[in-house]
Amino acid sequence: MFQRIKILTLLQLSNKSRLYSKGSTRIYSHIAIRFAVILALTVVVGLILYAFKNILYIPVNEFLMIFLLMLTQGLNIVATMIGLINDLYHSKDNQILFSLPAKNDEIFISKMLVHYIHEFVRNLFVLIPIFVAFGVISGLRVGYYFSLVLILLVLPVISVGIASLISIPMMIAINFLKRHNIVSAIVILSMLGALFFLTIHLVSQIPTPIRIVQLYHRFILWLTLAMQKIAAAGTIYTVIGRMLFGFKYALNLAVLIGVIVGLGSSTYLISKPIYFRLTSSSQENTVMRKAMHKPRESSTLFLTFFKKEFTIARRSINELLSNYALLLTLPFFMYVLNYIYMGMNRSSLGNQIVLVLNIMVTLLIVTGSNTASATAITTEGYEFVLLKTAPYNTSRMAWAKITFNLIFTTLIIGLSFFLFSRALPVFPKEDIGWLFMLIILVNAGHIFWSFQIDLLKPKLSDYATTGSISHNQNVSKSLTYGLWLAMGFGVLAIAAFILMRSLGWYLMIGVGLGFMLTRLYWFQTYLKAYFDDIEY
Amino acid sequence: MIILVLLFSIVSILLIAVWGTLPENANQIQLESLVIVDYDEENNDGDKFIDVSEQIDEQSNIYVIHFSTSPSNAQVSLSATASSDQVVLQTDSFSNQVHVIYDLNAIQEKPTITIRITDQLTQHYDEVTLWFKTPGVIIVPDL
Repeated sequence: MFQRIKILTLLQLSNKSRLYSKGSTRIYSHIAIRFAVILALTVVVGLILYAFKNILYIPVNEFLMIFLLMLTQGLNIVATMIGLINDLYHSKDNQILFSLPAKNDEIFISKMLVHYIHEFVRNLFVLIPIFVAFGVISGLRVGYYFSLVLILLVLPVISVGIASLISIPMMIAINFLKRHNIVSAIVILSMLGALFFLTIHLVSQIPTPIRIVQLYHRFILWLTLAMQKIAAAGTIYTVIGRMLFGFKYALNLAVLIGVIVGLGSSTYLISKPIYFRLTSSSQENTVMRKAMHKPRESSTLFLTFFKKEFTIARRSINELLSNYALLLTLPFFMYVLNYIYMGMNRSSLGNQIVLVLNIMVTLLIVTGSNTASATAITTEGYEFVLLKTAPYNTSRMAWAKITFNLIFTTLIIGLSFFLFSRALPVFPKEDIGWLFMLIILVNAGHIFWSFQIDLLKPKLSDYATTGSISHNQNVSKSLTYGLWLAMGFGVLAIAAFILMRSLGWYLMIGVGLGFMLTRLYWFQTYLKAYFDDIEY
Repeated sequence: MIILVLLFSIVSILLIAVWGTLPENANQIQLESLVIVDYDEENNDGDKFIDVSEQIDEQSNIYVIHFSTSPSNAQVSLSATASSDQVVLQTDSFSNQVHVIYDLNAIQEKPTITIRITDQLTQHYDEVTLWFKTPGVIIVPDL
């Protein structure tokens, strides 16, 4: 049995990491390099802890170490959980492993062992530098380092155990959300809403008038107290930390052993049966209800493509939201920054600078979110070839995509400004209105420009082969143009608000409108000239 | 992109702080008194004592000392010092509090520590001694 588990574990490990054959001398150089990396990391962490203590005046004590232990292990649990979801339930090696002459228990245990080993290696690079640096700085005794070795062996058991238990409800939730796109979107938007109100609550704790140095001191104080209080709260990692620092060693060790036994039993008794059930009923094999409605013909070609955009968005809402993730942060940035700007005792020059900076920050975010327009044709991939064979004016597709992107971004920008004006009534309403108009005009112009970039050089075959838009040059170009636009309108705003004052907004809106109309003209011209020449 | 936006946001705050704010009021009000208001007992010499044995243990390692200043709108530059390095102090001048942070060793050793809060501008100060009182102990005044 142990031999079979060992073979299964090595089989899976060889897929994920480099293994050396027995007697290979390269293994020594591998170990030496890793050792040197750990040593270098220890020195770096030592310097960071020194800075914490002597520059930031954050107490470097056992509670800080326990907090760091909780933080690193929390992140490890999340990483392991994602790995387990992929490995246990989605992995294609399940079919191969179940066909091997091994018992189901052995496959499950081998999968857990693979994650234990990964977790152990990850801890070597994270925990050894932190805890050895702390031990050296604090002059701790030799017993501390022996306890550290024991803890390094035990921590992965806890992480993998907790992750395997959490992965069950997570997997059920993921499967449910995959089947219900609308629910998925509602959950994401509700979470964003809750996050926005939490931001308002947290930011409102900052006392006004704001002085930057005092704000910094208060932030450090808040950080210190939060870390110390979280560490003192009784979790299993607090128990481990206390044991590591020799505080009530026997009692804490007994608690630790109890937790490990409990976690091990729960993983075997709860995770294992559910793993087999969830693995054997994959997404593809689940019988789904067929669509009952009959497709209706649209009156115009434009409407057909426009409806198609909505259908794609509805079917892949998560992808749509991830395309506009940066834009969704707009209300957060607008609120937090303006709360701080408004909280300072500003001069009249300060008020003008606030307007200039608002234009620049908002444009940076808005133009950074038009990557979907810069890949609109590219993401059609192989489908574009079929589209071109249709006996219609298929360039209407471009207008449908542009209209959809304009509507969607305008809605999010509008919502951001609405939330901003409600949450920060002290900001002049008139300026909010003008700023909104300017952003909408520049955003529309930038969408036309980004689409034009993709129109002139679409990467259809690249996308059809890889299915990915990472390292896409059109995206980089769109982002660069956006950056220059934000800077350019910022410089223009300095002239408009500081030198011309009363005519400031009129000048800005005039230039914004001019920019949008120019980009519209060029887009239309290029579309007519080049759309038919696009080739796969 | 988000990192660029974050960096730009920080720079924008600094820009307004440097060029867009009004100068500080030159007529600053001086502090007249600084008093630690929250303590358990006081000996004949006026030394203040707080028994922290109920509040400080391995589950809770922070003790908060409250003090008051008058007038409340006085310009102050507060600092807190301890008679031992077994604790770390963090001063919150907004809420008039000093947070005394014990480490695990200090919690085990239960040291007696005197904390002094000083206004650097006027040199007004007050002190309090934090100790883990054992039952039946009586404070004897210095002779």
